Amino acid sequence: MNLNNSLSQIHFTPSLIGRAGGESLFLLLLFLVGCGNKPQAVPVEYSETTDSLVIYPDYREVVVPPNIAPLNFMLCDEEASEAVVAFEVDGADANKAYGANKAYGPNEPNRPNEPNEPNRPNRPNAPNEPNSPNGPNEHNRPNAPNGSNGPNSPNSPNDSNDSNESIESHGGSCAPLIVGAGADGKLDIDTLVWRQLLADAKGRTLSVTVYAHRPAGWVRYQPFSITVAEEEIDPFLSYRLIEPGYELYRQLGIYQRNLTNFDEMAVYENNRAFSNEDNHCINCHNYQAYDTERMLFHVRAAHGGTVIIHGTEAHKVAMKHDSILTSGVYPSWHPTMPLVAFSTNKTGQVFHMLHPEKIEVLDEASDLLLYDADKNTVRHILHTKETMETFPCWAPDGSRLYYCCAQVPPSLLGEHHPIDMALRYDSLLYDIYSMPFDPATRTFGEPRLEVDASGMGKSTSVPRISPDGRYLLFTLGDYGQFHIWHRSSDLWVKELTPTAEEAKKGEAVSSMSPMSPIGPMSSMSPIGPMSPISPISPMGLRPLTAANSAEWPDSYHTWSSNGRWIVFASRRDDHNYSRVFIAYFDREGQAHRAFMLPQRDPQYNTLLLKSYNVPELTKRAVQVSHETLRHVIYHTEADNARYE
Amino acid sequence: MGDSFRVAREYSFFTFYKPLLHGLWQQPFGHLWIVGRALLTLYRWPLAGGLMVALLLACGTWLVAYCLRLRPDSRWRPLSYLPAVAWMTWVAWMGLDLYYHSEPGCALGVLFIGFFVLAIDAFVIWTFKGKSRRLSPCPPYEGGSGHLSGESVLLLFLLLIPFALTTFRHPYQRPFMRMQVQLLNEDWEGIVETAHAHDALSYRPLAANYAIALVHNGHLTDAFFDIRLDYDTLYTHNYGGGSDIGTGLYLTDCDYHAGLFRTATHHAMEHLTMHGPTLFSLKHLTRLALLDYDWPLARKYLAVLRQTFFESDFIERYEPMVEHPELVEADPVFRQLRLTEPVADSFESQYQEPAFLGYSATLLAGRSQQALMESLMACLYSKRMPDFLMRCEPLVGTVPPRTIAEGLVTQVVKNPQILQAFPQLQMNVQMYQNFIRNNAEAIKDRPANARRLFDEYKGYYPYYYFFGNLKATRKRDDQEHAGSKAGVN
Repeated sequence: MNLNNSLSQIHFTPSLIGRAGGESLFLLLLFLVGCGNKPQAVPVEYSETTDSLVIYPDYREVVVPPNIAPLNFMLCDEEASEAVVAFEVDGADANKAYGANKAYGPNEPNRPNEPNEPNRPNRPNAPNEPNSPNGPNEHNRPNAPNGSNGPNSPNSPNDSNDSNESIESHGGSCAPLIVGAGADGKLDIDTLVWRQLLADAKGRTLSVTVYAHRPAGWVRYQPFSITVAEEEIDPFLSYRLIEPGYELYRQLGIYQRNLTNFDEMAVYENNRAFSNEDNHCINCHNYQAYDTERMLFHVRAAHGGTVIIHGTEAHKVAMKHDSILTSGVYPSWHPTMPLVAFSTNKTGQVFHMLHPEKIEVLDEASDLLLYDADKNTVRHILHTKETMETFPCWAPDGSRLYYCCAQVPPSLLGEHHPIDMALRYDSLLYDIYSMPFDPATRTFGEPRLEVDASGMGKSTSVPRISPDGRYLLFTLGDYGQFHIWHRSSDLWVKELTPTAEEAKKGEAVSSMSPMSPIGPMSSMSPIGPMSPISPISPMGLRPLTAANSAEWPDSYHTWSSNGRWIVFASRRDDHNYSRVFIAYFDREGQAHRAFMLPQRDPQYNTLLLKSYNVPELTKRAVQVSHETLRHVIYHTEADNARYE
Repeated sequence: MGDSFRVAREYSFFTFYKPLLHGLWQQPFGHLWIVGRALLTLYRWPLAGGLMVALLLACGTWLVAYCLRLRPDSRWRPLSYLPAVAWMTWVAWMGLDLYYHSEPGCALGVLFIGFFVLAIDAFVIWTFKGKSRRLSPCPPYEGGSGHLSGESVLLLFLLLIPFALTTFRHPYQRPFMRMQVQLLNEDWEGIVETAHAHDALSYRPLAANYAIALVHNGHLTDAFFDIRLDYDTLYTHNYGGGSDIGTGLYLTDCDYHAGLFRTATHHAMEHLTMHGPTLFSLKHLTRLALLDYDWPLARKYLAVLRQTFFESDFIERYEPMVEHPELVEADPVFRQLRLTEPVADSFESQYQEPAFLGYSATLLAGRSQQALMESLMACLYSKRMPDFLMRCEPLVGTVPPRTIAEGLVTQVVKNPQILQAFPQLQMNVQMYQNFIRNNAEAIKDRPANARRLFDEYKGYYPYYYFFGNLKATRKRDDQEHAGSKAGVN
């Protein structure tokens, strides 16, 4: 980058130092020393470009929570040697500028946790957390490039009232946050500055203008907007990071990300060094009612069992019994009771040689279990040969249990070779059913068909009910239940508004045969391609078209506790490694364009060779320590659950 | 050793982008292995890497002498050579375990830490006792010529230890490493030459590379059985330290060069999972993504490769292909591999256990003559004669390639109608009858006579049919009797 050339085109506010005094002078020095030659003001001389703006991740025209971490992105413009981005709140106070550096500058280490980071874990981040290339505490980073954009920043154009001649105006009504990027095109927005910006933009729109410095001079792209919603998202997101490595696993872990910044901590990581005695896989982390007081995950292979966590305590249980197919697999905590519904699945995996889908994960058999965490007992909820049940999910009030169910083809009911099931992989179609649950007697009522996907020639997986109970969110694909590997899979919702009969009786009673795939809905024709406005089908089902990717898998979704956000895994980014996406779900039941979980280094997801698995939102951080979990897993025997 | 480290480099990955080495940082001694990997990057050019190692060993030897006060005229002076010789012996002892299912940065990491400790030690000594010690890197020789000769002889003797280990314990090491480097350079003729130069050695990795080269140079059907295919034991180990037959050394390459891209992707991903990112897996995955026209994925792997050093050649070759299918199809290697890509979907588990031509033993439909020939050769290799005859149907009325013809005549007695379909096989039949007549006794005890007859009949399929790959043949027979569908590996 040519420093002289850059500075010659950027006009600093004339009265800056005089107005801001010594503090600004200090910040000016910091800027000159720390920010090097990155310009921190919008260029005055530029030309408009009609080139389409390419940024990664693509945050154009998305709706974001007001508590989300900075949306750092990378400008993909091969000609650009540097870039400047202006974030401007539409209708903001013109006299207000952004930047917390005055209070939390680079020379102020060890800043305490921010007040809006509730329940932040006491544990410090591991020094080698993959998500923290700049160290565990973002605020200790020296010389953050955008760290000089405070109200008294030397190059903050809006610090001056008489800067109209030199500083580009963005609509004339706001004080933009200006962030510079070097030749790599990467933004690194200070979290505090960003937070202040979002606080002002809450319920409004951010206009984002990107300027790129090309050999012929500065160019300005067409601005894009980011809408900041009123509703926050739960601050913690858990996920498993694992290579999409098919059958094998090596180093994997369950991690928890603070969505309000870039902190990531390991909830639990398996053995780091290969050891026949210690190799174990971990999966299926699950929380009770968005809280971390009760949670669980499974340990497979060495040290196997299900780790049940209660606050800071943990213990390991085994759910093996002659009557149970395998141990518990997909879990769902009852929202208020110490109960967990599990599926138990006999699962196989086969690999295509040519098919557009790479992998098929198939159940040969599956049932549903109910585990009592206090009594350490387990019993079957459904135990049938003719049907396969999986992906249990409680309604938010605990009154119903939703699950997916497929008919086993008659030819496969008897003895058969596993490959016979594999060869029928595309004929297994899962519907969604629900059963009423009586908490007093802990018994279930008759199943009711909720989504007749097989009637549409489709298949469902992962039912999730919105916290207000209004929507059933699920994945719809062409077949099977492991939709995260199916290009056809998309997120769909069904509105669960009670029928008149239900409203009258107060309890849902289905008139159809519980397990029959033939129901009132099955005669309806399959739903065709949906428009972006997601028309509702005659069955009350509709795809979340705006949030879905066109042709890549979207699945393993979860609701935020306020029901306004959907977080899910998608392979849309590079088609192989699933990434976390967040979509706004408005009060009218429409999903908006999804955006990728922001990272400090916007290139991080490009280079990460692991997939994000099963994102789960929680209101607070996991309380149990890694050491406790390690002790329980390595040094305690699993308690056998008593089968009832 | 240069080729070994050159190949080990391919099974390594070094970058300053810390998240990509997150798993390695967390390993015991992970920091050290990362240093070793950093040094290994220099083996992009084996000469440069060799110079670096020679420098570390020479300086280390001098530092040992300095720290232990082993003056040039001291009778204990040869002790200073021991650490360097011990390191070389250890590297030779490891053989393929230098990188196979083990940490590739280990050897150079250990060398570095040894040198580093010596350097610190020497620095401390020099700081506190510098005046009393001479610090000449080349101390003047003060002894007699007999002394020099004795020391040199001893040094030569010590160096014979690693040489002997490589020669006798790992006789496959040098040719296989040479072949691997040639494979990296797509030097198919070089691989064939190396295989022929060591045709008496019989190890699966050598045979696998040889088969790959023949696929590309077009001599699969006339030179495939020119080397011994009896497979002696490799000294390789799995992740847990148990013995391993070394399938992972060539499986991904075989699948890839057999046009079985999905299976190659499967194995490359598993390599990535077990080892973390390596140049080997990333390069394979890049090529496979390009062959699948999966541009975002190819771009991702190229971005990861850009984080390491000295890989600009690879990036410059393959990056222009992103978004340009015509460039993918124009690549001579890709064009060759496309010929044997499956034409119909099936599951991997429906294919045979991998022969070293990949899974094509059960290929039922091919898009090309090349695919048919590979399928036929895989059948001949695995001695699946009913499958072989069934697949020969498209060749009826033509003059089959030499090895195919030799395979057909082995079945003439059982199926006389073969001669009606291939009347030009009369000469082959005569030769075959002579072979049977001359070796009737030897056939009664095949294991005892196999090695003796190889030089006389190498390249002749009936020899392989009766005397080649006997262990695998027995294994297959046992499995078939047991009702298993598993094939020859």
